[in-house]
Amino acid sequence: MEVINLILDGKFLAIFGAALATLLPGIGSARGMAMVGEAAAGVLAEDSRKFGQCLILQAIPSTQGIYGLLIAFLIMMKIGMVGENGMYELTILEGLHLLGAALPVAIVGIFAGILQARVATAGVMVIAKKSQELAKVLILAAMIETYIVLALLVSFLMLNGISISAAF
Amino acid sequence: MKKISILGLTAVREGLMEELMDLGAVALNSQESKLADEEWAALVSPDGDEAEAQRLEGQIVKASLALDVISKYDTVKSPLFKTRRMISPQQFRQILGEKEEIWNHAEQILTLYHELGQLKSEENRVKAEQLFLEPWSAYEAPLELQSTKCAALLMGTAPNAVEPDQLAEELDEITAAYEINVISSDFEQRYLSVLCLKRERELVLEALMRYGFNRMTFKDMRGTPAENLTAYERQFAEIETRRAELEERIRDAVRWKSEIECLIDDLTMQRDKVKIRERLLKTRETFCMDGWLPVKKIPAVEKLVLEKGCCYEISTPDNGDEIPVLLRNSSVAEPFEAITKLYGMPSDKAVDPTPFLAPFYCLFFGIMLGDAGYGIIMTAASFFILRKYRLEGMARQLIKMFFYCGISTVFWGALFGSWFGNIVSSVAGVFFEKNIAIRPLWFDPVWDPLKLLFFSFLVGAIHLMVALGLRAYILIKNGKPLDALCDVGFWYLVFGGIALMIVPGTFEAGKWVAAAGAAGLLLTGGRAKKSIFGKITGGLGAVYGIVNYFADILSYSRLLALGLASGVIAQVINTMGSLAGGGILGAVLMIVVGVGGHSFNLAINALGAFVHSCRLQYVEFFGKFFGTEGIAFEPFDRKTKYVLIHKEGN
Repeated sequence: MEVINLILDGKFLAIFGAALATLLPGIGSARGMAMVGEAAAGVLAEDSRKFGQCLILQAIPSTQGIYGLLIAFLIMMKIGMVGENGMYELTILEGLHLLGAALPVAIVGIFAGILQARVATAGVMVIAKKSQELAKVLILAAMIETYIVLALLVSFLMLNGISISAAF
Repeated sequence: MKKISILGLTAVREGLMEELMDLGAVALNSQESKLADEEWAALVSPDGDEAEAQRLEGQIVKASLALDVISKYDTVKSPLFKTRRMISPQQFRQILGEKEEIWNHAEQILTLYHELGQLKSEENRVKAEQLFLEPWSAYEAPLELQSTKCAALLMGTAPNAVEPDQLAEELDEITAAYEINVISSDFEQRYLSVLCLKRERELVLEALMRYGFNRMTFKDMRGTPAENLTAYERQFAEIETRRAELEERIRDAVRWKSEIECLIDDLTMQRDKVKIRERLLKTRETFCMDGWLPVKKIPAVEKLVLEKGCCYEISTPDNGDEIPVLLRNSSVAEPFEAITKLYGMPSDKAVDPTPFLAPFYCLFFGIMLGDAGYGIIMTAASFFILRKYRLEGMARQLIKMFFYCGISTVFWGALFGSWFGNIVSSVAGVFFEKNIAIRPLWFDPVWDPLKLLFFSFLVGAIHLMVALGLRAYILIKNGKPLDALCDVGFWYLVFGGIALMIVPGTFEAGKWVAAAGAAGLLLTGGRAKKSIFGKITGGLGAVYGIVNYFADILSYSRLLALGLASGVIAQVINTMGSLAGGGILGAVLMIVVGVGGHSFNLAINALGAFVHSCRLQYVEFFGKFFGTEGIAFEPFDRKTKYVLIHKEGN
């Protein structure tokens, strides 16, 4: 019972939300970049001049982690963790709201990162044969990015709409 | 684009082709279809010399290999952007006057390279022998000595698990006349020499082999191992000297690099000239060809053809012809051709979307990067690159495009009040304890994201309307005004009506306009279908298409999301940089975190802005009207790789 009371604490829930927003997309991006990086290393073994193009493709699944960081940071700003005022007192409901707002970017982030990397990895294979087709491959991978962008947007608008009573 | 056919005497063919190549104005057609026609086939035969083309190709490969070899030894750092060297025709001819010599140098380089390879395998061989002999270095008898009159020597290895004492015990049972010497050992085995009587050799060997003894023989080796090992060292030294010598000679040949580049370009042009003849038809004394040329180039080509005494005919293309496409734009829109070309060439019956996508591309890029500081860096960097390097083709177009996009980024960054995020207020707050901030000229999207969201939707709606307008234009141009009215006009009514509904005061009027548009769509959507059922579902399908338009418009929300991402991350970087407070340490942290963080943010977000601006053009915009059925106009010209021969007169 006591444990449940501890977890059902506004501050903890908000921090948990920020943690999830960093963790899951971060995992997605790291996993994704590793996949593309491995494929790219194979291509570089054959032709090291393609380094620049491979690097761009590897950077493609990095955005999920950054968007996650962004939402985590906004939550931390919202609850006063960044700044001199110290952390605000939060009600359980406010904590749950902030946690909920973190979820779109957190959950889409982990999948979008890995799936985008799959397309980018296939793109590396294209680069191995036809290095002039970089732009087309980038666009293919960026189609998946749409959904993390939408998730980021929803998370952001949700956060924007949540007001913290203690901040006033 | 016009069609051209040229007929002339074989005697002038060489000269004409040479000058056509210089002009680079005509794309020649393949003649396969004509040769399939019996009437034509009876009269003419295809020109061309495949053997010669292959010979030249082989030479190009060889010379390119030589160039690769010396490039490895070239100490001059290669520039960031590869550009073709400018060279005058006189210089080019002068360099190639010594073609034989350059060719000799190229072959010399290849020989040196080949010798280097042989040296490498020689070194590997010696290394292997050295490794083989190393454990025996303490052995003092010559290797070729295997037996004397009565005694025999057995050399070999035994696993470490077998102690020499064990072997001795085993041999004790056979004979008393033996001696086991352990020469050396490593972590796996011992190296042994066993002395025994010649007549007992087989017996001894058999006994030893039961314990895993592995006999070694030293074929073709003379002298003691120590002598051999010294000899190897000497060989290594020799190889090293020889290699240094070869490498020095290759390094010396690096100064021929530019000449070899000229040679490759010359060979490439020769090959192209031979290969293009496959597109010529010939009789005994004449040749003929046909192809395409842009209207602008007609006078120059006419003059050349008349000069050579050939007959020609220039005609307007027929309806069924597949006309190659050459994009032509004003100098401002021209860099954005890169975006169009990355997608594909428009059909000759369509319209070049470049001038229409250019302003939107700039706008999208600016909003998505949305930081004046980043914009200034981008503009300055691309300006510098354009000044320093004489880029050509796609690379030049892209850099120039980034220049314009950079300006747009500065503009939008200033409107949003983002200069490297909030660097001014961070620095002022931390180091000078003052409260200064650059006010946005319009509004800060972090504080009013919905405003920017609706603005993005508005921009998106306009973008889509332009796309629909282009579709109507293409339909009308191809003589289908009814389709233009049904597929585009009614949509305009629907969207115009919706716009009126949003504007206060005209809700009623808007409602009726939108309804009229929707009714038009409903009635005409299935006009191509034959059955009543098909007509009804077609109409419903057309009205349902509105869902797609809403999905398209929602897609423009990425303008807001990416714009926020770059701005907020820049602020995060500034916040992290100011964590150490003021003072020297704080300043150092601010600079390190600032430079590193902002470079990273700029790189990632510029890539994002590029890709997503492209996506909005390719999926939302091009999807409405653009097909890539076009074939690019590829004139017969000088396709050189290393030098650009600037023509006389300019």
